[in-house]
Formats: sequence, C-alpha cells, structure tokens
Amino acid sequence: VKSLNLALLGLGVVALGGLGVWTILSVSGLEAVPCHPPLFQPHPPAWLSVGACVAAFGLGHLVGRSRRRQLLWRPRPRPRPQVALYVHLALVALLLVGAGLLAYETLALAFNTRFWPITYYVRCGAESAAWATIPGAAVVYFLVGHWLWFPSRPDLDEA
Amino acid sequence: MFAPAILAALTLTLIGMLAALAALDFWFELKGWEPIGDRIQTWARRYPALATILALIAGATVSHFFWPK
Repeated sequence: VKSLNLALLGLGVVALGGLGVWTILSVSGLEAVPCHPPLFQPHPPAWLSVGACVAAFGLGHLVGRSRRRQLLWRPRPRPRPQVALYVHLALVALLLVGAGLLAYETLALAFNTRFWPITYYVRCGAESAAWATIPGAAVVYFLVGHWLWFPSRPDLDEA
Repeated sequence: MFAPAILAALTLTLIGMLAALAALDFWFELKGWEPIGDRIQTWARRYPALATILALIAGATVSHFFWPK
C-alpha cells in the first residue's frame, strides 16, 4: 500500500504541476477566448467529468483508508514540531484561499460582474481542453478523498 | 470577461497549494512520518459538523463546475 500511495501521490504532484505550468503557458499565448459562456458544449459529456471526479474521490479514500489501517501495526513518528507547524499553516492557508475563491464565485455569479466566475474558466477548460481539465479535476478530488474522511472505527481513529 | 490574470492567479493559488501539500505528503510518506491525512482525519473526528460542511462543499463544486444548465 505504501508503494501505491507513493506512486499515486507522486503522479498527482506531477499532474498538478504540469497542469499549472501548461495553463499559464497557454493563457499567456492566447490570442482569442476559446469559448463563449454561458453556452458550453462539453466534450466529452458532463457525466464523464463528474464520474471521473467521483471515482477519483473513491480511489483516494480507499488508498488513504488502507494506509491508515496499515499504520495500526506500525505507528509512525510525527515530523518535527516546526515542520508540523508549517503543515498546519499550509492547511489553514488552503482553507482561506478556498473560502476566498468561493466568495469570488458567489459575487461574480450573483451580481453578474464583468469578470467571469470560476465556473466559466473550468467549463471553458472542459470544452476546449478536456484532456487536461478532467484528469486535473480528478487529481484534485483524489487528494480530497485521500485526506478528508471520517475514521469510523475507534481503532482507526487512534492509529 | 475572460481575464488571463484571474486564471493565472487561480492556477497558482489553488493548484499550486494543492500540489505543494501533495508533495509534502509524498515527502512524509517517503520519510516514514505521520501523513497529512491523519491530521485532517483526527480533526474531522473531533469536529464532524465542520468536516461534513467541508465535504458537502467539495461534493457540490463537482456538479456546479461541470454540469451545464
């Protein structure tokens, strides 16, 4: 399970990094907007994008759960307090950024501002570059499924 | 209006932060340290209502972003 976890996390880092670099490079060289919201015609169909995200979430959960179960037998040391502090700060920053992005999305949709809401960028990506957008979204939901779940059994909770 | 700066900022913040956290988790796994997920799951166990809200938001965004009207 450790090797699988390492392989999937490594793949996720490479995929997200690649998606980020590719997005910034493509946007900087963009001459015309590749789609015209709110009329979108996703290729492939929307259910495939949603299905890929849900499947990735489930896979992330399964791998995370198996890994935690394995830790019951071999508890692992915590990182140094300074490193742990950085992790906590990074998680708090991620939540704050998420809240800020949701606020922007809400305002852009509610008041029909002249700037696109985040939804339009994602759907535009799904329409014009589905090969990058769908795997990218799946990696994001793999990580969410990997990290965010309830240990339902007390022994898993204490691992 | 399509704003390349907003798309670049979105990519750098959200994707960049997730990639950094995943890289950190990868590093912890390699070193044999307690993974990031364990911290989040302990938090979820302690604050189930907050964790449920977070999970619902994550779930709702999938259909919100990908399901056209």
